[in-house]
Amino acid sequence: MAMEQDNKQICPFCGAALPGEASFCPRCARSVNRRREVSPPSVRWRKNLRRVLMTAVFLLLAGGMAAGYFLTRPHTYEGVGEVYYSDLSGTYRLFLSETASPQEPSREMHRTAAIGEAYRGPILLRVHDADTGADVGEAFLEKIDRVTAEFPTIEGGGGNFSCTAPAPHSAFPDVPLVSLVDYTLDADAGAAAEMVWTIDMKNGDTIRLGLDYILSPLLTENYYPEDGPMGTTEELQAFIDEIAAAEDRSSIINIYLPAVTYDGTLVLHGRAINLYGSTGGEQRTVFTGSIQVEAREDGRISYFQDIDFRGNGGVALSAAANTRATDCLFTGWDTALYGCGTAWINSIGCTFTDNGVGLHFNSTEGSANHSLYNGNVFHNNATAVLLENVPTDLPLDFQGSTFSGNGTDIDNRCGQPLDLSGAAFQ
Amino acid sequence: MYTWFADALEREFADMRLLKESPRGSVRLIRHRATGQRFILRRFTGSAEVYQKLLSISCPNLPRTLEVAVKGRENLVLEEYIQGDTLGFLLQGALFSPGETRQIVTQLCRALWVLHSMAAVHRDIKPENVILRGGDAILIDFDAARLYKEERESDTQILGTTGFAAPEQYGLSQSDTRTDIYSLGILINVMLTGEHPSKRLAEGKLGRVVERCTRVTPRKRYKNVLRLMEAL
Repeated sequence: MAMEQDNKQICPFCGAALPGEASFCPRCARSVNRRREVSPPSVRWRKNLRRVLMTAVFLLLAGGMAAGYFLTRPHTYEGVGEVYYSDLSGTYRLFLSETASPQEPSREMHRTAAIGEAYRGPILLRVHDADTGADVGEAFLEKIDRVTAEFPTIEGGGGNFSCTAPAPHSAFPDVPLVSLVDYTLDADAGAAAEMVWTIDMKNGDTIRLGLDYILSPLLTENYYPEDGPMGTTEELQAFIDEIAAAEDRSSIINIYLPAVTYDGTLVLHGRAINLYGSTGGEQRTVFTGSIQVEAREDGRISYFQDIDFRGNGGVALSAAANTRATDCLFTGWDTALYGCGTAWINSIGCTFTDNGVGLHFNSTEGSANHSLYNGNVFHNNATAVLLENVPTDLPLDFQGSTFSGNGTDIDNRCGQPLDLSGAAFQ
Repeated sequence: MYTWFADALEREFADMRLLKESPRGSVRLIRHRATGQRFILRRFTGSAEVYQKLLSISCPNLPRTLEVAVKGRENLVLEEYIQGDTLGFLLQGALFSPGETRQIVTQLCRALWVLHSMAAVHRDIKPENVILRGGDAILIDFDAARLYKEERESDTQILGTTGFAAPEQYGLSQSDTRTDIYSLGILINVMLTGEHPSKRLAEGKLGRVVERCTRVTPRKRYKNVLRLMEAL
């Protein structure tokens, strides 16, 4: 024990002079303060006591519930987003959500939509045991006689809503039922609608689960060659930089390019910008240099359509944010379409010929926004598709795509689930 | 005290290795010149309240805090060096069995019970902050820890490690002891499956424990670590 004197103390082990508040002697490296051993109380007796009490309460409740159960059947259960349902074998928590991961229900789905564009998204019915929290969707399906989903009321006039019949879906293997919701917005005013799932149980009970969809309009700004200088890469870059600097980033930006050949590198940053190549005459819009889509966090997709990427090595379209190429040609590149970071990259109706790698997916984070890679032609590439990292387990569907003359058709290094039933290998 | 201790460290100890460095400070392995014993020296800015409380505490699942010196926002903390492998390192080689997971997490609950009974929250529970020494699991690194006060509406700083941090640490509500319970749930799942529960939830009873630990709403999680210990 150290001796304190005039706010000083002496180390009891080596005699060194220490400040009064010191807890440790640096000279002999030993503690000079008192410590108390602390440990939590035993949980065993608490556990046993709780078990006994819970058993007693359970027996009392079970008797009461059984009586109540038979007196009140059949029953209708209703809820918004979630509902608790009880039958003789237990109590279940049924809830609707848009993805398979959150444990909380979705009660309102706020979405923005461009006027006239069609959108589709899933709504999942999930079933948990109310007591244990365990996922019991599979077993609960056995109790269901019939289930439907519909939009009985639509407010605001400008919205169209429909949904597919609830059924299992390959993209959500652990979810019992999924309905795909299709919606469009026809007017600037926005729209709202209630989605209602009706579940008829084999024992005569009915469960109704509701969910509100609220659509807000997303404005579109179109720019044509006559709206600004875009004859060269430098002019186009300056034009895009000007648009990217604008404060309001909520609208969709479409740039319709002239039938010219752009060389040098073009960088898209700050916001999603869609580039559409010329389709009016025989000439197409050509890029001989790279386009780089820089990382963003808004989750939006940059669209590239009807553009020819004709290179001599390097990367044609390098994406660190969500990117989709439609009806584009990629030829002569080390890598044609490359996705990294949080990008979900997608090609539809594109032609990849004479490249080192056609489509290279190497994104370690992010979420899927499209599962179809349909209508592509992969011809004479060293590797047509290289899947190094794909950030979800969603099966990629190559229906209608053809593979011919490639050194390797698909190098699936990350073991991504694939649907090749509709693809042709020649 | 701070100047005296800094001078004494310079005189009596030799620097061995920089273990960690961040804008808030550094963690170094140092050696006592006379005895050859190794220690951990933390230099950081911010609050050292939790370390000061640990000065008088002894718990087999926490490293002994040996000295704390404070000057304004600057802190020097000398701590026992724990020799062993971190869970993060061990998880690179293999997963843990349910029995091993129960045993380790129960010990971490004991460490957290000590912290929580001092009204402190660790706020950075992850495999890299757990060291296995023989049969003991030791919870280290209280740099992100702080004392919680009921009236605070939300945390002012985002600390913790992405993936292991509870939603309320990103500003949804104030961190309290159930923030650590959330991170323990993630840890249990990673020990059993190697993955975050949103990607793959552990099976069986421990999976249900993980699910309860990681509920978004803190009040729906285990009320305290004793309840979690019971469930384990």
